[in-house]
Amino acid sequence: MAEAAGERVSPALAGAAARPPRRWNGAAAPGDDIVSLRTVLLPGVYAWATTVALPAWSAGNGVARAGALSALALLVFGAFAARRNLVLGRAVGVLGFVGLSAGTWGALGPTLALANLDLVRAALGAIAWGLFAMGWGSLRSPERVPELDPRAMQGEPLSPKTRLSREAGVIFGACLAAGLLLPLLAWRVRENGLALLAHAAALAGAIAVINVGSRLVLARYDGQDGRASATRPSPPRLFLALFIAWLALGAGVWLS
Amino acid sequence: MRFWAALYALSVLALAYGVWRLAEPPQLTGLFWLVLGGLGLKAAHDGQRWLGQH
Repeated sequence: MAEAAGERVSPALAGAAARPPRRWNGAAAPGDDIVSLRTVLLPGVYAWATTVALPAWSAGNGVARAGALSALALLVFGAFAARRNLVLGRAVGVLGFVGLSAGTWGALGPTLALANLDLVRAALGAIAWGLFAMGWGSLRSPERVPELDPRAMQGEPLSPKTRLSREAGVIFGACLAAGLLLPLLAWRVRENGLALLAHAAALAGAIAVINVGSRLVLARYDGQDGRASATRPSPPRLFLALFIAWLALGAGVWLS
Repeated sequence: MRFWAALYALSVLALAYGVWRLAEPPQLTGLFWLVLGGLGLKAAHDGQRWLGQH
């Protein structure tokens, strides 16, 4: 198509044109490659089995078991419904499933005490919940090529202004590792109320560490398009001053 | 740039030590390091933004 019009065709477009795209008829099937059953149901069922079903059946509570089975039904229904109606599918599969799971935990009451938990299984279940949450993200199947979308505007491929160095990748990896370490450290705290604070602080800290770290890695590439101004005002000092003051306060208390 | 990067690294260490110390009394020590790490991260963030704008 583009070659007939005399325009240069990118290698991706040329390669994609040689392979007929799957079910591309100018309009994508609703939720076709937006929700993948594999990425939603696999971690979702595992999280349900380890963190909802197992405690519900161990406790012998009829209400909890009914809640657990209902949560599973909503999970499966929501995942399949999302392929036709994304809003309904997510409402049922996410809100309904998570809500009924939380209701099941509430029905279990004191049987969910920390002393009764298997820490390894709980940690694996938490990871599965995280994968379940990310599994609802939009995914593009390998056969779909964005350039073949009828709404795409054909033109010359855009070349990047600059490329990230390998060092930037290493530094970002270190920032990511530091961010992942913080929530793991919070598991050391055993006291109930304090553990909640530790996990909340660790989670907020992890988000901030990854966010600020990635911005610092990319800061050296800013201004390369000539937007940097000739005069440079002084850097921000407020939180730096607060940092120094807090450090001095701590040193004074420690030395006294 | 190196100053803000060093401040960021120190803040991450302070945060990690603060979370670590929350498990042992006195917990105020852990809270101190958490606040210090948070202030340092915010300062590094503001410094990064300043670098990007100028």
